[in-house]
Amino acid sequence: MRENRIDSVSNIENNRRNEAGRCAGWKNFSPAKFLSTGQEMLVEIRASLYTARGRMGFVLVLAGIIWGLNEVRGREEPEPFVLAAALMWVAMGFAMLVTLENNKLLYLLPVTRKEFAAMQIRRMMWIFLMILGVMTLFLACMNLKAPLFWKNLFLKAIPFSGAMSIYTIAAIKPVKESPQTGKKIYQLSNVVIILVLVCCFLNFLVFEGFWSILDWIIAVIDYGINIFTVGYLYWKFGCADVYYDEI
Amino acid sequence: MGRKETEFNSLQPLLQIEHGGAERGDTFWLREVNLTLEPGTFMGVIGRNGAGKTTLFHMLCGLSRISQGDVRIEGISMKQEPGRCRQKMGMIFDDEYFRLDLSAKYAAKVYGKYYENYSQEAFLSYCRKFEVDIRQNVRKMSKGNYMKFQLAFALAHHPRLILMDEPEAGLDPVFRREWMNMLYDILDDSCSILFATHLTEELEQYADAVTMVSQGRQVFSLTMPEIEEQYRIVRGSKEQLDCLKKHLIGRRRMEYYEEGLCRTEGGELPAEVSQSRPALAQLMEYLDGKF
Repeated sequence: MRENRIDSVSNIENNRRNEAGRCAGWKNFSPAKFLSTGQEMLVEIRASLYTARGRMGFVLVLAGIIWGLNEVRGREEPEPFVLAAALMWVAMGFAMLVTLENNKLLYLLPVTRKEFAAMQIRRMMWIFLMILGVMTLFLACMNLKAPLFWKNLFLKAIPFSGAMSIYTIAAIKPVKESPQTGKKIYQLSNVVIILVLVCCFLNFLVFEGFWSILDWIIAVIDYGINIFTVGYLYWKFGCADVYYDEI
Repeated sequence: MGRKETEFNSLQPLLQIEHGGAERGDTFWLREVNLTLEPGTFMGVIGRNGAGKTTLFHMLCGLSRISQGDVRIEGISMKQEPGRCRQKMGMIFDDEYFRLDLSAKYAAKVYGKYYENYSQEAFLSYCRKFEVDIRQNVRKMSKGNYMKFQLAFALAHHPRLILMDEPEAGLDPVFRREWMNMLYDILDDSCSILFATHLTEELEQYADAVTMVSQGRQVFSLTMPEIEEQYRIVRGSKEQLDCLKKHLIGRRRMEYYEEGLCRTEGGELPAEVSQSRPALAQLMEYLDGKF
């Protein structure tokens, strides 16, 4: 009798958890979780300023912003290579500021694989916003008319920030390939990351004119590749059948 | 946690491994491990280097694939719900898991959020008790302080099971004694400790049960009284030990007598041979050594 009662308690508990598990995917992207990740990154940035690596990252961000601002201030068409290099510095600096964590520790935390994957995507979104903020600042300092400002923001800045933020989370371990157990890890990561970076730089550096169809086509392709890559990385972090000791 | 779930959990062993096996790549590193740990128990895991102790701990905390059997923490399957199982575990490793470029206080604050029962106040209080400088960068901590920091963090989320994989390696004897006393103090009816170590003398003083692994297989998993009951060190002449041949697991010749390890199976051995309780080091020598 007592065992039956305990079985039913256990079943109810399991049903409740299964029910919760079904909507857990969406819960991982709730505003509360997003803000919590932001707070976590803020603590990490604050702490990282006490370390040589963190200070180096901070200097890179500042140097990138100053260099970029000098290049764009009052200009209508800044040198795209210089601007891209300045933005790379900013992206690298942010990556150094917010990636202090030891990846092995993440595997020991009480989170599921999907939560772990969502955690990385949320971090990526924050880095995306930070880089986009800097790019918007650059665009605002340029001598651009409103339509050109918006065109640059939507066709250049957003996909470029996306690609840079993807690159920062792609360094997390499960994405790295392993010769030991290669068959268990999907072999696409490097190809996908190279594709993202090549496409974003191509999009950033090609500027044919406001009405040029080429600009629009490249930007659409860039958006598509970025969205595909985010989905791919989420799937890979969350669903790849690989354990830490196999990496 | 509800009262009914508490009642349900209280009937489960804290840790249960049934035919557990782990593999890395295509190679099995551990197989057929059967182990049960009751609440409030201090269990030592012994074995030679490369015997499979670390793989056992990796399997328990989800770093290695459980390719055979299952691991259950309070009845929850590690295979199916690793996140829930890890909520109940505190981990202390000799490895660099926690080596971050963060101060102890911030590292605990950031990672404590992932535990349902974590309390930063409790962490700070344990740090004060263990004399850990919370402003110090974790990467720059001494070995002893790093261990104490990990213990404070583990205790701050009120784990049911604490896993320790050779945390005392490279520590001085005074600290090792302090460490064992600390562990003994934290042990209560709600928390158990699984402790892999080469310090068999310390285990003899503190452990309630011992599991031995050798070449990726479990040799035994027994309580200390069971070990005493089942194994005996016998000393006597060659003829006397020849008479015990069917009980002997191993023997070696000393200068004036012969010594061997007997498995008594609860029965009595002849009174004329000298008998004593085996030390864990002797068990390891006879069960896993070569003479």
